[in-house]
Amino acid sequence: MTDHITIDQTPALPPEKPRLTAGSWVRQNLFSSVRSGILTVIFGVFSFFAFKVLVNTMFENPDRDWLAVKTNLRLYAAFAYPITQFVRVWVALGLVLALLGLSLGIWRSASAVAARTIASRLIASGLTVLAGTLLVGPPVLRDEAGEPVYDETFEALRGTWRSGLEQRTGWFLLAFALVAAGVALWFGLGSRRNTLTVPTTLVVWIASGVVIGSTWVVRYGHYGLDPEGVPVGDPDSLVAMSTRMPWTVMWLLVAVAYQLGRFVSRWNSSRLLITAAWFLAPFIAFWVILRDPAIDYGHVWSTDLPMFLGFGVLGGLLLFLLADPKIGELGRFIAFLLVVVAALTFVSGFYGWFSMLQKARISFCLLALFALMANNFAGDRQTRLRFAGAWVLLIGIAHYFITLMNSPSTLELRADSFLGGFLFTMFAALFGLMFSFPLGVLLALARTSTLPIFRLLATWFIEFVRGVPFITVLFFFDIMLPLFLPAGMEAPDMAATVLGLVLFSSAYLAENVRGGLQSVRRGQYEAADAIGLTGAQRTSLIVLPQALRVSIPPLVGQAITTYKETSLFAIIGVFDFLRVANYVVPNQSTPVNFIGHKLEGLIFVSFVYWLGSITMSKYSQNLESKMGVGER
Amino acid sequence: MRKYYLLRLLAVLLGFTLIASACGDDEGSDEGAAEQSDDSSSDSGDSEDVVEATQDGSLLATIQARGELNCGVSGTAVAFSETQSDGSQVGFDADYCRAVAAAILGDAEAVNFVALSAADRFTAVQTGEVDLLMRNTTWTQSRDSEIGMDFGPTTYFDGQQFMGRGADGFSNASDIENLDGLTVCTNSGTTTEKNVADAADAAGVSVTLGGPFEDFNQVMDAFQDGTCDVVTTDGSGLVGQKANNEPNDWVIFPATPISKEPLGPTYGQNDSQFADVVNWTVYATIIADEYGVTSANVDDAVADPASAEIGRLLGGEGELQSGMGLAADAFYQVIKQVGNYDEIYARNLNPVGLERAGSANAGWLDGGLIYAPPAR
Amino acid sequence: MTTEGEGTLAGMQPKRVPLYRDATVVKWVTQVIALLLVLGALFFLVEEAGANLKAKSIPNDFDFLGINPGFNISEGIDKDPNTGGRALWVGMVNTLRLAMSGIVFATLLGLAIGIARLSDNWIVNRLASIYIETIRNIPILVQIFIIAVLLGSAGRLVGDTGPINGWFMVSSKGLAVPRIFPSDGFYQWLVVLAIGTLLARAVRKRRVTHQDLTGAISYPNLWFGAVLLLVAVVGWFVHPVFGFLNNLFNEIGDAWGSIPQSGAKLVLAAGAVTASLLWIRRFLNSKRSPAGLAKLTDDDMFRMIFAVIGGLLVAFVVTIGWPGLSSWIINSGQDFWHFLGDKFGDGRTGNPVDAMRPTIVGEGTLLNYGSQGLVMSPGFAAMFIGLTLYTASFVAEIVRGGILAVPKGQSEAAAAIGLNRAQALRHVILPQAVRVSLPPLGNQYLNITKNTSLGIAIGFADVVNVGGTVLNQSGKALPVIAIWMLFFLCCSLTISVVVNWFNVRTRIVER
Repeated sequence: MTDHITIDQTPALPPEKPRLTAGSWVRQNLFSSVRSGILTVIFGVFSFFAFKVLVNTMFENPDRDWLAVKTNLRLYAAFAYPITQFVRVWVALGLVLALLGLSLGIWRSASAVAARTIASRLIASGLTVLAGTLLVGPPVLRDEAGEPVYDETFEALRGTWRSGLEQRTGWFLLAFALVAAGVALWFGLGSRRNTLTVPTTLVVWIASGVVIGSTWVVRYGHYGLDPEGVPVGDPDSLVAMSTRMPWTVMWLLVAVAYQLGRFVSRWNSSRLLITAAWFLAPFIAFWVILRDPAIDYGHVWSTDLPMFLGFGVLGGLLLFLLADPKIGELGRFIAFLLVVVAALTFVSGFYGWFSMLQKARISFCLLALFALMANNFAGDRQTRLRFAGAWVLLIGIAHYFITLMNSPSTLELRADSFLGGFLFTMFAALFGLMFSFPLGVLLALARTSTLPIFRLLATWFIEFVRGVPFITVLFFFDIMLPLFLPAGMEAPDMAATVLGLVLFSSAYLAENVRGGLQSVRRGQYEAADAIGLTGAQRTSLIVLPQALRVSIPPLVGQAITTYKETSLFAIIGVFDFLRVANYVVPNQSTPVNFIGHKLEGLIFVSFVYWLGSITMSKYSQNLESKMGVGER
Repeated sequence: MRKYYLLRLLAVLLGFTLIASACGDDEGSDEGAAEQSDDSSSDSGDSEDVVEATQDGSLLATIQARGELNCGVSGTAVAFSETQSDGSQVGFDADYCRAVAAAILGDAEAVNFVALSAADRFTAVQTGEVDLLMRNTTWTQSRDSEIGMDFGPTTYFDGQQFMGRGADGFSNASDIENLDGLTVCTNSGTTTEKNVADAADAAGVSVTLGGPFEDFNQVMDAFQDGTCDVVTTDGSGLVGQKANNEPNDWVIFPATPISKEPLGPTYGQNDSQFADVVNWTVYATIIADEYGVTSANVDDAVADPASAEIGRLLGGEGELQSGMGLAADAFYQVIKQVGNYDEIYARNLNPVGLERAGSANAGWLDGGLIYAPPAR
Repeated sequence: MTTEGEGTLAGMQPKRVPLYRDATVVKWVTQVIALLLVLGALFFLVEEAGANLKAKSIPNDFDFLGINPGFNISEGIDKDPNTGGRALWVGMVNTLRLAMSGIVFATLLGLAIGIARLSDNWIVNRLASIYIETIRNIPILVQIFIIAVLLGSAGRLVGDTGPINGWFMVSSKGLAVPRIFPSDGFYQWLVVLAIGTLLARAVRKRRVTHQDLTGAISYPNLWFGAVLLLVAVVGWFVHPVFGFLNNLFNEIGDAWGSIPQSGAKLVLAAGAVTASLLWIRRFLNSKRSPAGLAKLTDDDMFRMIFAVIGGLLVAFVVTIGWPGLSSWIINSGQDFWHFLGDKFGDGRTGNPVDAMRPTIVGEGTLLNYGSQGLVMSPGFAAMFIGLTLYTASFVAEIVRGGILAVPKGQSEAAAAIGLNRAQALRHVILPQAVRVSLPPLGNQYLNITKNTSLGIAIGFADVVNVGGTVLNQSGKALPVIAIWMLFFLCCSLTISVVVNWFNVRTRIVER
């Protein structure tokens, strides 16, 4: 039972392609026929002008003021999160990055880049930078306030080409450095460049290290607002210490975590633990680190702890008994009784028959579910103990987080929600995906089940949600959710929007999983039946693992879509990443006037979104090809 | 076999963590009230009793239990409520939110501002997302009767005007007749939409309405691009936008607004206790202005009141605030922390060029419409 | 892992399974409980919402559909709608207009880029892949915002705006291009074309038979096109002869209007019941094999019961539950025929199709596009360009995937039987590629339709935006949201039906 599938094998090298000389490459790829030649000329000219228009729209354009982005980077990152508490954002990011490093170390990715490719990419990017630097128009003249100077016909005045080239020495240096590095790599390796490969993770790490390291040397300039809200704009200094220091720490953290991950990967349980940590991390980052709850310890001692002990000890004991193989029908009866009790606690709450803490209701609910499962965990003493232990652990975690959620935040906030900017977008996407995944799997199972009512309900839900636009779902949850809740219960913006996102993307996820379920062949079901597995065992041990493996690529695709869908929050007035760019910054008149500077922010936002999705999609492609190699 | 158990345990564990946290989210929302009422019952405590008690009581008790006033503002109305980079709100309307918070909670900063678009402002009040709407909302018959809103005393008397570019030939003397065939823009879901159509019909000209735009920033973007030839909204809004976008050659016309737009606090229907508190907070700022009591000299006024009326209002002998469910010094806190009407006006509206003297917003003794019933 | 009691073969004697362990019972009880739970939760939520609505005195009816909405709409078939329903209808038409143009152009652009992605020319291939990788990884809303900003910076409308002055104009007032529109004799000409199509099909059939018999290449499609073109050209001049259809359609309309209401009800009810019975018959037939009727599972029974209940329900609704339906069908049918009749005769002798160049109206600096050309408002233009570019990147990937999915052996086989490249593409590769691409393509069309709802972010008067304004003027949130969702569900349903129909048509006929 230890031969779990490992994916960290060295991939089979692709067949060696014949290496072409430069001349024959051009002949084959650009001028293979008259038609191809004409296309090359037309599209070559087209790309030249398109590139020129692009760089000139973005840079040295009197309408552009990139200070709007540089000064407001903190708004983009976390909107109104208190500046004095910003270290929390870094700690949260550090948690995620450390987990990332650990995971990369444990699941050593097999994807690698040929040295040849790295060298040619370096040269190509150097040449692109060079071309961009040369194609940008002469610098726009600006007055002391940074406003462009116009002549009578409202044309911006520009300096000479020569002055432009002189000002751009930094860019020329960058281009030269890139080309030089590429050339050095190319010739330094000699013929080994064709066989030597470097792990992709290492390449990314080194590249980001070069960028982060350069902030200690190169004077990129220091922009932003100091804690009193006074603008800082110093183009000739190093990046603020409060930016480069944390990033450097993060970068080192990833490396340390990676090594640690490699070290612990030999332990069998490391993968399980890291997966569990991934599921807990968003909650810890959100409720513990970012929200900084002011826990009322008096209440903890008087109520929370006794409640936990009560549920943990009594529940654990009960489950230990229920998992006894000899308990027979009595076990089912008790479990059923518990379900009824759990249902009653909710019903009674709604009708006000008797009141109890919400926490108790949830605990009863969980206990009932565990009791239903107990049958599957029946076994020897040790197994039963482990089952009861799992219950105690789970109820502990659940109670801990519920207590955290009920504690008020200590943050000094001036906006209506404590998260905004990219942090909001990221957490909405994370929570949305985490909750929609189990729901989507359940829906897919229901839709493919042989039980008609389940199938009907799931089908209606999925088709309904897939048939309406996300924005109407969002409006519904934003405007109408308070109406559907019992009086006195309110849902904060974040909860309402994430709930909408969860329901919406679970319907799409369900369809992806359904595709996977349908690819599991009939024989697998029959084989499971033949060895006497129950329906639940068949589904969870045989069918789902295979189905999920097949649907990983579409699931990653859906993750990308969900990530992009979060941008729609901007429409319903949540101060998310896009709304900062589209609304907050372009309306900023104090302390610096950025009124009307919308495009800069939008380009920045598109770049960040693009970076996130392209990373995920490349990863998915990599996974897809690897699975293809491994399976068939 | 061992592996199986671990796997299965993990799956169950993770699944239920999710469920648990999902459920917890709901509870987290009624956090304040649910957990504040800590009676030291050890298991399955009856802590929800308080929540259920306040549900049936008035909004005032709920706000006091919550310790924070949820106030709906525009966030995009220059000089009335503007969202700052740190998420806070400044402006005339925002200050009146603070005044109400000072009256109810004794702390002008205990306001949770919620920026609302014109489209979702009434729903936000109806669903209880905000307690009070200070979002330059015009008092109209249909809103008062049909939509389930109640309106407090008008804090700003406004009227709808147009704004065009001087380069297009508009001047202060321009009139609605000059708008024939032009694209006029405003934000959707406002009374201004209908006013334009009515005024154009009356003048016998045809105008095209641009949009529909969700908020006034979109309208201003469209105006600056040239998509809209003329924009229209309340005169104060136009003055604010013009001031914010200097330098420009924009002009505001006609001199006499085409409509009456009384702007003031708005709240849900049939809660007279809360309504009284909001109304009298506004009146208190006006009465304080009449007596010349400002945030600077309010302490002196308490020590030595100019009349019995202002003495009562500031919590002196015979005060009426306790009977309203407020602290005796509620209105003292309003004046002390926020200021009187004139201070609030001068602080927010003078910088954009809206002068009080000579306008409808002057005090009634100076020929304006700002008038408060006597406090006795 | 054996569950207790089972697995051991010792106790072979038939033991009665207790009721609570009986698979069928447990299965159905669980399902019914689940159904009750869902219904209960829904009921609770609806009740709660109703109580909350009442407590907060929020009006919650559809009255606003019939009264003056109190606002104008900037673009659409009716800029000054006199009822709320009419205003929403204008929004729906705008949505559909945007969705349809988006679908057409995204397909064309996506096709081109998808083929370019497979080009053996490096630069074309690279450009296409850069386009796809950039566009599809940026949220559509961000792209729409960017395009709106760029269009806004196009500058104000002046006398000589745009790249091709007088033909194609770009300004902050939007885009304007020449407009081609059906004019006077259009419908008469359509009749000519319909007849021409029949004729052309007959000719093609003959040519195909000829080719099959003799083996000579007889260009059936070329013939088809030629005949159709000829008829179209002739029809351009002779279409007024079909003016007599005016009377015919009016007569049909009158006849339709004279159908008694009870008759219509009866026909509808009988139709519903018959349809459900026919479905059951077909279903049973599909279960029948030469060996006899297969054993029916619970699921099958459930389906049949559901069909009967559904049929009866529909019958009940059309006869008693909704008496207005039959009269609506009669009236609208009558209106439809009369509307059709109006398009014929009565001096309709002009050209079937006409075209106009865009014009500029206004004076001084306050210019605007006239009504002659095809004018896209800035909102429409930004939505249209954004949706087209975004969806094209997905369509391109689908097209590429579809073509790559055709095994290489197919094109080799085509070459082996002597087809040239174009013929292989036309007869072998594309038909198979289309089959693979259709379902995901349908999804993309659905996405375009749904994404039109983003118009609210930049001020395009689509159904969501107009609905938002109605919501806000009348304060009736729930009914407006319901209308939005119903509208989009109808659109989705229509698109899936159309795609399914195509799908069935292009499916390989298997043994």
